[in-house]
Amino acid sequence: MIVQDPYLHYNLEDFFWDEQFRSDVMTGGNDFAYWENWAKQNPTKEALIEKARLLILSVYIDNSTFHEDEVQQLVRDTQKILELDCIEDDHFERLLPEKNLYKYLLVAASILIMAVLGGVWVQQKNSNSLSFQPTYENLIKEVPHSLIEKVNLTNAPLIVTLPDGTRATLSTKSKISYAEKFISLDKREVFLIGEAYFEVVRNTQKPFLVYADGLVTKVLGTKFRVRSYAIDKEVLVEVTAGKVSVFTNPKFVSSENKNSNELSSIVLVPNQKVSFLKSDASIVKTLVNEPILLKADTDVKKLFNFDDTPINTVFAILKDIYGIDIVFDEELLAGCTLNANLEGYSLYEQLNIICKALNGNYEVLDGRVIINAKGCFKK
Amino acid sequence: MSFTPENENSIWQDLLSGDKHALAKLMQSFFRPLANYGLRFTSDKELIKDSVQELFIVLWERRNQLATSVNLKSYLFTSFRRLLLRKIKKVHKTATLNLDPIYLESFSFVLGIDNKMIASEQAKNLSKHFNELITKLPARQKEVIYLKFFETLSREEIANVLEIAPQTVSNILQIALAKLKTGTPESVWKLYKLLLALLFVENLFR
Repeated sequence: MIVQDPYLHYNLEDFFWDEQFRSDVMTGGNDFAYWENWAKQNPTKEALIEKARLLILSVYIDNSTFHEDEVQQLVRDTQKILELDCIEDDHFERLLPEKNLYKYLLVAASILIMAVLGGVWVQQKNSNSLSFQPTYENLIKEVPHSLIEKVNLTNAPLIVTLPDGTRATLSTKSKISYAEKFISLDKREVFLIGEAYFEVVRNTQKPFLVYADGLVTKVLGTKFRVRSYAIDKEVLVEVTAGKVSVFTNPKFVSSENKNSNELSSIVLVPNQKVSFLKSDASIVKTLVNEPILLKADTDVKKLFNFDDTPINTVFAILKDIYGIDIVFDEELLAGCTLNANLEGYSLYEQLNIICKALNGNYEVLDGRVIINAKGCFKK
Repeated sequence: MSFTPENENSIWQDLLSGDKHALAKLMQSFFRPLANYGLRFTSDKELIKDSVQELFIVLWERRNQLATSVNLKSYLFTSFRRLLLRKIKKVHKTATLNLDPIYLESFSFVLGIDNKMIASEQAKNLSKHFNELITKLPARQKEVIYLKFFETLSREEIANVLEIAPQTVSNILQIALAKLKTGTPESVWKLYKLLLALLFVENLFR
């Protein structure tokens, strides 16, 4: 019996919906060469194949936003959560008030007392604020459960694996503490003095918080660095991957600044950093000193070689590769082009070269790059 | 990435009986379809990753209460959609000021030809034209088209995901089709009409 090639009976629609054909068209190259050969052997089908290919290509959606590494990381993180049985343990004690009348009465009573003593309390708090500084020691004193402390007194970085699998790389003369187990807690809290780089296992249900001086950094799963040595005047937070939000620790905010709590947190994306000034709890957002390429697999050599490229395109490429916002007057600079190879330079060097060509300058404001230039005459 | 109905069922049974690897396998194969669907609602990648993780963790936590037989794809799409939209709403609520424009999109997709692919001018023009028409459609119509065409869900599955009646799905598609038809000038190239025909008529509910 002769086995007939089913594709011989395919019409345009069949090809259009055929999964194998579809994926071969998408990958192109050698995979599609199979079909080109097939069409040569079946010349009557050649036009049909080409039409089907054209249709498939013209209704394509870019699906490359998520990097394969990201997918694998998320799956690994999720497996870690399951393995640590963080959620299987249903019998953990939640840190919530128990529902019994006695406790409610106590709460009611204490509210009453607070109301009565309110005025006195506010006054006291203000006068106390100097002695109650958000130092590492004061922060851990407040924690209701026992903590593990790791200290790095060596000159080499120390890798500490936290109970949830998160990796903290502790710089020299630095200290962190954290709960022995995160299972019974609804968040993962870490206290830091000195510097550490965190690679956090994503657990959507348990936010990860780093307390350093008066600043709190809150993340779900991401990579970032916190620096807060006792002698530093400021706390620095730098993000390499994912998203991070920072806010001032509400416990240490003076009453007139009470509104600057978690709700008005500042969100950081990769290549951004904040500095938190300890003296007045002000937060400034800028860019990291050496922004990294976020799209490691892109052909940088080709992308950074600009040949009479419109300046809008140049900025669009930089934006995409560094994940940062570049603000410029599109209309004003519409006539400008760039002729330069920017490969091998840091972002700031690249911006310098571009601005020199534009006869302008740039500044970094609120984590964004602002381009000041007057535009170009059309050649 | 796609499972046959048989191994889809067996992996589901494994999950119900507490197999962690089954969960990881499911996550691995459904991450991209779900995440790419999520990108139509928001470009916040982190929010999407959170939602996918939460979906699978909740699935794991509730494995004792789940139905023993499900239509896996439509089940996951339905739950994911609900979860993600709830999270987006929450972002809207907490950030009344300075709301990032990425959360304001309702549903959008852009057809385009990847630079890596060798495509003729013809194909490029075709997708450009198609895009112009699609953007004019209301979100709901776009979503039905997306699920039908890019995720090849059936009418019943789409109805499930959008939590509407199957007949409503048909109506939405019919309206979208009519709009696309009237928006197409006579001069437009033959292939484009052919494409519409393929997408919306002959293939309406396979």
